Amino acid sequence: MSAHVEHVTCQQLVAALTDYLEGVMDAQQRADIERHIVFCRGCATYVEQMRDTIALVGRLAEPDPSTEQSKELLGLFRRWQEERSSPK
Amino acid sequence: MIAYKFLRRGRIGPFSGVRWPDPAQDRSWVAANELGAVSACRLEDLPEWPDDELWRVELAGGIHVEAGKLAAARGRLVERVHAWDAAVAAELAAACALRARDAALTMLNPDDAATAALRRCDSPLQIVEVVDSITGLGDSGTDAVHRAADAARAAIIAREQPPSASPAAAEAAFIASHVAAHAAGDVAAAPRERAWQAAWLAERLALGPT
Repeated sequence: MSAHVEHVTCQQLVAALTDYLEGVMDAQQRADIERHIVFCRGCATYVEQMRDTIALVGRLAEPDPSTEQSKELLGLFRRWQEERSSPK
Repeated sequence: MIAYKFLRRGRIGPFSGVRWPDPAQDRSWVAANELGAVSACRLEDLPEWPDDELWRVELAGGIHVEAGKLAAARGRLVERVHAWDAAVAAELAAACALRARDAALTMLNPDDAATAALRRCDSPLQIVEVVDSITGLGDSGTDAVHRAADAARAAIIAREQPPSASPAAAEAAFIASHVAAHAAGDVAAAPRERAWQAAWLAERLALGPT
C-alpha cells in the first residue's frame, strides 16, 4: 500500500502495453498498469486478447520454400535486377 | 509465508492468465517467470486487487514487498476464502461509496440544503439521485461530490451485476481513496482510506494478518 494515487488511463495503458507484455517495465510501472486492469474490464479484455494473439502468432510456423520455389523466386529477382540496371 | 491472492473465476491469474493448480488435487508450485515474480497480498494490500476469488497462498523464495504487494519466487494455493463473493464485493463497494460521500461532505457548505440532502443518503442509489439533482456547489466540492457519485454508480453495478462485482468494488474503493486525498488536501489520506478498507475486509471476511 502506498501514497501513490495517480492512475494510468486506458489510453496510457494501450500506449504502454507492448512494454508491459514484454516484461521490460520496472515493478512500479507494472503495478500501475495492473491496478488499472483490476477495475477496467475493457482493458483487461484487451490485454487478454493481445496476449492470446501473441501466443497464437508465435505458434505459426514459417515453412521454407521448396527448391523449385527458390529457383523461381531467384529467377524473378534476377530479371527484376537486370531490368532495373539496364539503360532506359 | 501465508498471504492472500485474488484470482479470476477458475483460479486464473488476472495478469498472467495462468491457471493455478487446485490445492485439493495438486500441490505443485507456480514459479515466477521472465515477466515477473509471483505476487500476493498482505492484508493491507487487498483493497487494491479485488477479483472474483480470494485464496490463501503459500509463498516461498525471496519474498519481498514490491510496488505495494508481496513478490516471491514461487507460490501455491492453500485454500479458498469462500466468504469473499460477489455479494460481499457489492457490500464493500457500497461502504466505499458512503465513505466517498462522507469525505465529499467535508468540502461543502454545511448549511446548504444540498449538503443536508447528501448527508441523509444511506445507499448508493440515493447518492446518485441526490447528486444528479443538485447544482450550485463550489468547484472543489462539485468535483468531490461527482466522484462520490461515480463510486456510488460502481456500487450499484456491483450489486446488480454479480459477474462485475469485483471490478466495480475495486473502482469504488479506488475512488474513495482519491476523494479522501482530495478532501484532505493530502495524498497521505489515500493510504489511510485504503487501511480502512483493509480493516473492513479483515472484519467482514474474518481474515488474519499475513
